[in-house]
Amino acid sequence: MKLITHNMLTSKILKNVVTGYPLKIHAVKAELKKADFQPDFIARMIKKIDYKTLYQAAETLGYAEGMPKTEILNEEDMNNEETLKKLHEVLLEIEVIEGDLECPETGRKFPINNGIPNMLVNEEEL
Amino acid sequence: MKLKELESHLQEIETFTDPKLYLEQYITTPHLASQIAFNIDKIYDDIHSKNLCEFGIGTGMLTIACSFFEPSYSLGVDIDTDALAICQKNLDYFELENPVDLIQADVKQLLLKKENYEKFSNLFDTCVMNPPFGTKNQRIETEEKQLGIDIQFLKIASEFCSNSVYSLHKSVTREYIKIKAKQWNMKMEVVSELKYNIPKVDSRNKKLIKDAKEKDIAVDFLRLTHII
Ligand SMILES: C[S@@+](CC[C@H](N)C(=O)[O-])C[C@H]1O[C@@H](n2cnc3c(N)ncnc32)[C@H](O)[C@@H]1O
Repeated sequence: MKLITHNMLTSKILKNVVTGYPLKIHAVKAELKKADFQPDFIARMIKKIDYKTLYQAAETLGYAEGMPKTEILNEEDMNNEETLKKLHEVLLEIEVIEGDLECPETGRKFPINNGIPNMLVNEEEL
Repeated sequence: MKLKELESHLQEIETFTDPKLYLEQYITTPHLASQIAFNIDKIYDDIHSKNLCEFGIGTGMLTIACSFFEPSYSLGVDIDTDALAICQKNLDYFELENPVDLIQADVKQLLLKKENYEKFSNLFDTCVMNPPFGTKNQRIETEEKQLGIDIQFLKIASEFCSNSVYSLHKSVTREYIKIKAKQWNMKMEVVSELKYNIPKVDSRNKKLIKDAKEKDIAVDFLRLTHII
């Protein structure tokens, strides 16, 4: 699971959960997997993601150094090549391989095995 | 990338080892998948530098085929642990340079609450998929078959993507899908008409027989686009 994907996941499917976001990451194993740097793509994506959640996730995994420490990125950040490179790493290259995602409200855990988060829930949980 | 070359790459993809009937686990053949990806790229330019998603990714055939045309980011969803494990293996094998992520989820559950997947909505440009047919009049008949699942796949794909949804459907459902598309404010076109081989089922144990072919069925390769 890459952090761009984590940025979109919620546990709202669960009964009585209000926001279910962001899911807390507990990583047992994480890796860096190189991907081609596409500055235009990163600039485009940064407008669509929740930066605060991304920052927190990167911090949990020990990769926040070099990221602008702010809630919302400004124009300057979005035009800075170094910042975009860092965001590329954080969004697309860091992979959580083993661990779980925890619902912030109920504590329900969604396991991540072999890099794949399991978001399936039982009928009774809906 | 030449069409033939793409097809031969795709022949390396490992397929379902123990296909589950009720999930309609059969692959898009390398021959079909290469043509599909090739046409989406050449005719519509809907892959390069785009965000892609696939529902029912299975062992990864279509997403890997599309990866040869360099999407920015791809997400594959499937309900089945075994299929996803093989898919992950295939992705590792191809050492793709474009990022691909997988999640395990049930399309039926995703659709339950809109807020559940809202953050994904419009992150994607294009969806390419081969959903379960879900229709009744089929030789591979099981009680648990997910009825109407083909439309649910189309629905979720239309909500995730801001641009185009490419999908394979039985030709007999064409008029019905056209009506659905209209309800969702989308335009449907038939890109091509295909013949599809669904593997034969052993009537005693209800298992798919490897390498045995059922009669060809007529399938439409559809493109749905949002009307703005
Ligand atoms: C016809 S196969 C296509 C496999 C692959 N995309 C390909 O083209 O080779 C349909 C896939 O949908 C998955 N599937 C079936 N029902 C599902 C559901 N409710 N939610 C998510 N995936 C589902 C199956 O596990 C299977 O991998």
